[in-house]
Amino acid sequence: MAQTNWATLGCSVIGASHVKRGMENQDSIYFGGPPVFVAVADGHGGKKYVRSHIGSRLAVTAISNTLAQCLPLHSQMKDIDTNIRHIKSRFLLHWQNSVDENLSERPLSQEEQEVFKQTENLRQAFGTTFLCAVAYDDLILLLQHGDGDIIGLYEDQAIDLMDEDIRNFAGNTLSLGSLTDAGEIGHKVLTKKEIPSLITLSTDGIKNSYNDTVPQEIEQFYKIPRAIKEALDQGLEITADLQDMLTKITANGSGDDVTLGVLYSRL
Amino acid sequence: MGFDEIGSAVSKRDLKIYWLVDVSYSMSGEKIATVNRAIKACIQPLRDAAEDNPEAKMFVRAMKFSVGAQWHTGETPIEDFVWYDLETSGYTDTGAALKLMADELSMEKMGNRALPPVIILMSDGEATDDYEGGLRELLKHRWSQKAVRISIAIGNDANITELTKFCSNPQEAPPLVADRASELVAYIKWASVEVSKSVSNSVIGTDTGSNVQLPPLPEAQVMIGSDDDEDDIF
Repeated sequence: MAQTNWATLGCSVIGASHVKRGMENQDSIYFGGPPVFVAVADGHGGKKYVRSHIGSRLAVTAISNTLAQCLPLHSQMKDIDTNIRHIKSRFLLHWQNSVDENLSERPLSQEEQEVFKQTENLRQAFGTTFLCAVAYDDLILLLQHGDGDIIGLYEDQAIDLMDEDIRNFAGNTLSLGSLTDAGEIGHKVLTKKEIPSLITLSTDGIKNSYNDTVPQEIEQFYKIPRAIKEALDQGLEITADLQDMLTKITANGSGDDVTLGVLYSRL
Repeated sequence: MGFDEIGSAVSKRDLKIYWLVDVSYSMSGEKIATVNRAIKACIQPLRDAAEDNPEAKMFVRAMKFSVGAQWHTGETPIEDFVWYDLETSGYTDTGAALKLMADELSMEKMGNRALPPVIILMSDGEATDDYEGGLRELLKHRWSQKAVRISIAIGNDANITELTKFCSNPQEAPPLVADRASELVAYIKWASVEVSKSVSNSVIGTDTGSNVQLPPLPEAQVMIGSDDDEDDIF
């Protein structure tokens, strides 16, 4: 499956609670290529993370720059693990450099710095999660740091593609802002039959809108990939519909910013 | 399956507040009367807080413990909550209360997306059963680690060591010791209303490791020296 057979779409809607509080959308989404990829990031948005909306934007552009500069992966590569490590390191370095540049151009105010302990790095003010799916010729690379969901659609089944990390729980998440070892970024490589027909990347505001103790409710979350696939198969232009769906989700659900990225096969 | 249907199947995240009340015989008289009064006084401010923060759905539930532990009320949305006064009898089976509480904190019951629950333990004595066993049972759940656990000592005979072990953040929020009725009312209101507001506000952002930041503790000194006739010393 050549990577040119893959396409992307997606959108982001500011959270209902963020509108009420006059906050900006902390989420970001970016898609591009080659290689074809979609990335979403969720800035933390809490008091300490005053530039997390910038942090999330820098994360999705950092992966774009990284992928453009790194060797394309393929399943027969002898040193594929080394190359993935290289992508992760380069991505983190890109993000950190962009953050440092922003900090040097516009330093945090005294008041903004007061919430940080002396030992803490000011990059934390840009704290964000990060999810990415990249389509190469015969494999898909998934990257994740922090909360959010990557779901793959196989025939009629939508399943979580990344393993659960219990550090992302109850309002806590891993963050690029405090990451020092790029090796801690989670990844997965999908080849051959592991490759789904469609992958969704969503920030946690979406899944948090569905009560997972009520099966009928959480099932709806896992129906999103199938609904998108069916609409695409019918040749429909769906971005506006997705936008409406996300607006409903944040208004009646979590209240958080909600962002959905999609990587899908055109075959 | 259309996008409309998927987008409409959502709901608010749950914020659950639990009161665990010692109703042993030693709580008789002014102590239990004050607890009843204080919890009743929390209902409207909690409703107001819930209205101010519609991103969360607030539920409250009360447990009583003396000989064993029982739920005194069901898990009830704050808008429908009605308080029935507690009465006293028997011992102080705090361990049984913690075990009963633990059952509510399983992943099956809480799910992944709830807000950290607020659990308020109030006692005037020391456990007459297996406190450590109950605490172990409680703390084994992932949600217990994230819960805001606050304890209130009613009078000077409460076992502070036990109550300290219960607290989720004993350095910043050790057991609140209420020697007077006015203090007890203030502490119960703070732990219920102000703390739940902090938890509720946490929906606007995520954090990278710390638990919910507690609001400033109520200032006990403002009540010391009160000449209020109803401000009984326990």
